[in-house]
Parts: sequence; C-alpha cells; structure tokens
Amino acid sequence: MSFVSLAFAVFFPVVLVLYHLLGARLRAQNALLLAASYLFYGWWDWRFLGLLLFTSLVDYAAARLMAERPARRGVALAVSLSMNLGVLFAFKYFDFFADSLNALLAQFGATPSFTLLHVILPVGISFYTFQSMAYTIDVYRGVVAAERDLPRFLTYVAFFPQLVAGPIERARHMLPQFARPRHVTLDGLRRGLWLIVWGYYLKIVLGDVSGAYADAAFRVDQTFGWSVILGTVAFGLQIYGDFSGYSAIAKGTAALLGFELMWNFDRPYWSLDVREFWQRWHISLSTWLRDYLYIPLGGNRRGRLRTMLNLFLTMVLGGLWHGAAWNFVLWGAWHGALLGVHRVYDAALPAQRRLPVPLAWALTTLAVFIGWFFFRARSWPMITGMTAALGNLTWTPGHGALLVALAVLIAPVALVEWLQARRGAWVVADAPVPVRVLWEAAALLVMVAVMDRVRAEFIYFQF
Amino acid sequence: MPAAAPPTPIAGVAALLALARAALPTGLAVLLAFAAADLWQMLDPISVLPASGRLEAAIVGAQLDRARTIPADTDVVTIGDSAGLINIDPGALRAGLDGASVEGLNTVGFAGPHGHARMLNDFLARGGRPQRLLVAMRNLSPPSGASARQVERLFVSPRALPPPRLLPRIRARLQGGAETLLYLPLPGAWGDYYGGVEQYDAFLRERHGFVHDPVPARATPFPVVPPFGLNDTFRAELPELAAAIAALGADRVRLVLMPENDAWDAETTAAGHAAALRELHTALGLDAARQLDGLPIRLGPESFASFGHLNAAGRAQLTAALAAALRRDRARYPWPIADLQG
Repeated sequence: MSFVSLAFAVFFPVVLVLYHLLGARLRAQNALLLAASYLFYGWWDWRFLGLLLFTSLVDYAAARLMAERPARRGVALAVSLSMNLGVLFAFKYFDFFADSLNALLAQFGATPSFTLLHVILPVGISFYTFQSMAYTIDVYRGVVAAERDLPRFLTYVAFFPQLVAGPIERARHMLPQFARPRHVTLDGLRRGLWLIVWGYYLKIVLGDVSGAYADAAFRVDQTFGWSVILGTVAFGLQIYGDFSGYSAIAKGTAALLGFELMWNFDRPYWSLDVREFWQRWHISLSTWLRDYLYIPLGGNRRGRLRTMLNLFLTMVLGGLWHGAAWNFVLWGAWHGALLGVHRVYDAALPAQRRLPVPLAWALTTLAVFIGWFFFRARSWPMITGMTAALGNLTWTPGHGALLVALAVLIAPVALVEWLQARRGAWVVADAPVPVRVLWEAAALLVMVAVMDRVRAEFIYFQF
Repeated sequence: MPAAAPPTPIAGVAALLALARAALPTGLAVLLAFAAADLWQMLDPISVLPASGRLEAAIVGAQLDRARTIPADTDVVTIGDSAGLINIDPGALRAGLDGASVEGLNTVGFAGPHGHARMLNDFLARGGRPQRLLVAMRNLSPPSGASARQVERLFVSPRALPPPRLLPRIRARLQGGAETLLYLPLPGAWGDYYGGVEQYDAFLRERHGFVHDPVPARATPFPVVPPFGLNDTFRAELPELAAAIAALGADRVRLVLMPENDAWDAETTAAGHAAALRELHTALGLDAARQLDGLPIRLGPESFASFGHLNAAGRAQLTAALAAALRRDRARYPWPIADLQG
C-alpha cells in the first residue's frame, strides 16, 4: 500500500481511530499495529508476507539464542546474517551478478551458463532486512537486549509507517517505544500533521512534478546539453522530494500514533562538503553503513590509505544497496572517491584556508548532482549519449520554461529549510496558528493543482 | 519568568479529539479556499486540456484559433497534416516569395480531410482569400479508429470546460493557475524541446502556424510501410474537403505531397507518389496541369527527424524547392487573383 493511494487514505484513519480507542491497552495496540502493518505490506503482494514473517522469526530466534546461549552467539549471528543476506541476494542481486557474469563469459567467447531467476523484488526488502540485521548485530554486541515478546518484535520489524522505505530504525530507539504506553500531546499531534502535509507536498509537488521533467530529459537519444543539465537538477529535486517526503510522512504518521521516528533528512542540499552531505542525506542508511560496515572494516583506525579504501568500499556497497545495476555501483564509487578527496583536502588545509562558503556549496552541489546523473541514467548508452549531448548547448523553448519551473519548485522548500536552519525543525508547526494554517493550506492547494502528475510509487520502494 | 508547563500527555478518545482540534483550522482554510476557487471558476470559467492527446489538442486548439485570427489577405495558407506543419519553414518561404505572407493551418493526420476542411472553412468564413492555398500532406492516411475519433472530438472543443461537478470545477481553476509556472511536459522529446502546452502554443503562433520536430536526426531505420495508401475513411471525407476548396476556387489551390523517406526504392516511391497525386487531384477537383513542379519526392534518412517529419536540413531543402516552385507557378498564373466575391 502506498502512502499516495486511496487505500491508504481509508486505511490510516481507520487504524488511527481504532488505535486510540484502545486507550492504554498496550498489547492490544501492538496487536492492532502488527495486523495493520501486515495488511499494509500484503496489500502490495500478500505472497511476500511469508518472507517478512520468516526473516523476522529467524532474527527473533537468533537473538533469543544469543541471550540464552552466550557461547553460541557467533553461530546465531552467522545464521541471522546468512539468512538476511541470502534473501537479499536471491531476490535482489542474483540476476544482476548472473547476468553480468554471462555477459563477461560471452566477451571471452564462452557460453553464458547462469540461468536468471526473474523473481519479483519484494518491496522494501532492503529496508526491513537491514533493520532486522542491525538488531541481531546489536544484540550480539550487547548494545541492546534480545526481545522476549514475539508480537512486539514482529511489530518493530513490520511497523507500517517505515516498513517499505525507512527510516531504517535501530532497535534501541524503537523497541522501547513498543514496550511502554504511548501518549500523544497536542504539540506532537500538530507537529505530526505538519510533517504529513509537508511530506505529501515534497512528494507530490517537488518530487512528482520534477519527476516529469527528469523523465522528459533522460533519454538515450537526448541531444541538448541544457536538457541534460536541467534534467539532472530536476532529478536531484525529484529524488529528494520523493524520499524525504516519504520519510516525513512516515515520521508524521508515527507521531500521530505516539511514536518518534528518527529524522532521515536534514536539509542535505545545504551541505558545504560531501561528508556533510552524507550526514544529512538518508541519515538512517549512512549511519547504518558507518556502524555496521565502515567501522567493522577498520574505519579510520588503520592509516590514511586504508581509511580511504574503507570509505570507497562502503560507498560502493552503499550504491549497490540502492539497486542491482552498474550505474548504482558507479554512483557509489563516485561518492566514495569524493569522500576520499575530501578527507585529503580536510587534512591538508587548516580551517581558515578553506574555500569560501558559496564556492564550497557550489562545488558540493555540483558533485552531488553529477552523482545523481549516474544514479538516474540507467544504461551505458544513456550515460554516453547524454554526456555527448553536453557539447550542444542550444537553448530551446522548453529550457526557459524548465528553468522557471525549477525555480518555482525550489523556492518554497528552500524558504522552509532556511527558516528551519535558523529557528529549528518545527518552525512552521510551532508557528502562530494563522501562519501554520496558511502554509499548510497553501501546500494542500498546490498539491490539488498538480494532482494530475501524481505517481503512487516512491523511487525508494524499488530499493 | 515561570517555566512553561510540560505538554499534557493525552490518550484514548481525548487524543482523537485533540487531533481533530489540531487539524480543524487548516481543514477549514482549505474548504474556504475551495469555495473561493469554485466561485471564481463559475464567474470566469477556464478550460482545460484533456490528459490524453495533449499535443494533438494543443495543435488543433491553436490552429482553430488562428484560422479565425490570421489576416484574411494572407498570400499563402497551408492546410493538411503534421508533415505540412513541420516540414515547411515559414520564414524561408516568405523570403523565397519576395516577402509574401505565409500562414500555416496544418494540424495532424488523424484530423483527415474532414478536419482540414473544417480549418479551411473557418478561415474562409471570415473572408479569407489566399492567393495560394497549399494542401500539404503525406500520401498516406493514418489508420482510422479510436485516435481519429478522439481528434474529431478535439475539433469540436479542443479546450473543453470541465464538467459542472464541484470537484472538477475546483481542480480546473487550481490546475489552470499552476500550469502557468509548473507546466506539464508534452510527451517524450516534445516535452523536452518545447516544455508544456503554453510554450508549444507560443512557438506555433510565433512561427506563423509551423513547428519543428524536436528530434534532430532519425536514429533508427524507417519501418517499411506501403508506399501509398489512403484508407476508406479518408476517401469518404475527401468530398467535404473538395467542397471547401471549391468555395475558395480550385485555381488557387495546389497539392504539395511531402517527400517520403527511403524505406522503399526510388521507383516504388515515385509510383506511389504519382498514384497519390492522380487520386487526390481528381477527388479534390484540382487541375493536374497546375501541379507544382520540382518538389522532392524522396529524401535520405539524414533529412528526417522521424518517420514523416523532416529535420532542419530537410526542412530547408523542401522549403527552398517549394519557394522556387511557387515562384514559377506565380509566373504562369500571376497574383493577385481577382476575387469575384470581393
């Protein structure tokens, strides 16, 4: 079930009313959330409910085993990791590697020998397996206690606001929230409502409207350089609107249920270097990669060269997490290289000799958007064709219109984020009623105005 | 200063009531804005383009409007399909005819002779008397079917007012306001090159009723189609166009069949071209002796943007040949022609 669907428009209010009518009956509320979450997931394809249940049960059992048989902790963790990574590999990566190997073999004149599985990618599989894996690793490390209550654990893994596109929550943050009575406050409700309205605005207006412009520009037969440049900007806005919008809706819906989800985005396009960008973009994934991949690889503890290699490997694997395709690997490698260059630059120059802020911002934004080009151009012919088009800077009537449209899309979001930077994340939600109402009503009206471009799917569903 | 009291936790029904309280002001504001939008739409209704066939609707809508607004004494006017809309450069044609005024009223192939006649009749009805009317089109008629019927509806009302129900009325007003800045791109490469309907419409009007195919060169081989073919629907509508032509005077009208691509060999293409000329001259009541000469029948793939549309190079080549042919034609049958009705 997508947040942008009639089904959700019915589903969520019903769940919300039932949930609050249950009052302080915690187990009943959790049971309701579990049933609602499985309905939410099964609405897309009920067959994959079994997979969700299976991975959850294995991780629950593995953690219990770690708690009850400390000597077998390693085995239990190995089982959990093998199962999660195995499921991910089978559903998401097998065909990619098999196809790539077949192509490589064909290059050398050998007969392709790997049969492709052609299985459907279960929606959100990368999100919930990573969340579940983080739990077993944390139990292994002793960071969090193994959960005894099975329904509570199942609800933690399947919690519908963040099940299919994150944030990838940590057990130590979320599990306690399922274990204690949840209360809401008037402020919390108001903030939750604001997040939902703002999230839908980001998704429908910034994301989907820009998406139509990006789709028009990203073509194998593209010949106009300005279409490549402006189309890439449009895609950068689309993916930000789409994903941060989802995260805001998730945080908002959870808030109405009395839960607190982490912030997944923190004004990433204001970053002054690439490292800062990754501290602000998809925070739940970047911290996951840091804690469960980069640091175990050695982090920055084994010399500069090894640090850079670790960064590079982490980002390449982070790229691959987004999708089983070479352009994602390229995107990850690009960011890995950028982080390495930034590390050298950071070590070489004292703070007072750094680039001026506007230049640092411009270079960072340029680097990030070059990365988005690789992310969106899903085939080698598209990458080469569109790169070649940069040689033709003919200005067409569409470019002027697109420039205006992008400015119109950016302005309100930039204004809100600028205010947030000065007065805090809740600047609009906590504003005097007339100001808040004006913002929310205007956002809703613009959404209705561009409703003809709405896409029910979110980009990150496919990851 | 006393410390602010911590927020009071609420649960159960109280939480639902608090939620309603938090949402109420915005909800009321939105309802108020909807009412204002509806009132505005009722007082000053704006039309909307259909979601499907936007490009066709934009072309037909703009050309219908232009048929009623271009100068009645325009020297050269064209009607016909999208090949005529795209393959002629009005500036170059005007220059080639010593400054003669040129206006295009071509639409799309699906419009068929009925649509072309409608465009001509609209122009004639307001006193239009061009020195030359060019029926500019390919020698193939598009398949008749659902798309043809859709375009037929566009001729009746290309920019339809929304149905009188409440929500479509409100949406039309809000959508119309948003599209000025946040345009909805036209399909495919057209959206990339032109942007939305408004930009396309402005380009078409600025170029006297002609546009460009945004693809600079054909990237893939042409599909093989019959070299000449008019379907029954097209043939059945030809008398309607013949009647409109007769109202103007057939001596002012010239048939311009667009050059075909090289999917077929030269002989087959030439035979198809000749067959089309014969059939169309007869059906439209035109004098075959007045046929423009020297127009290219066949061009190579480097001149094409898409299947029947020329690119910039092809357009320049065809327009130069057309200007030369019209100059020769004018020498044989001089302008201005005395207008019996005038």
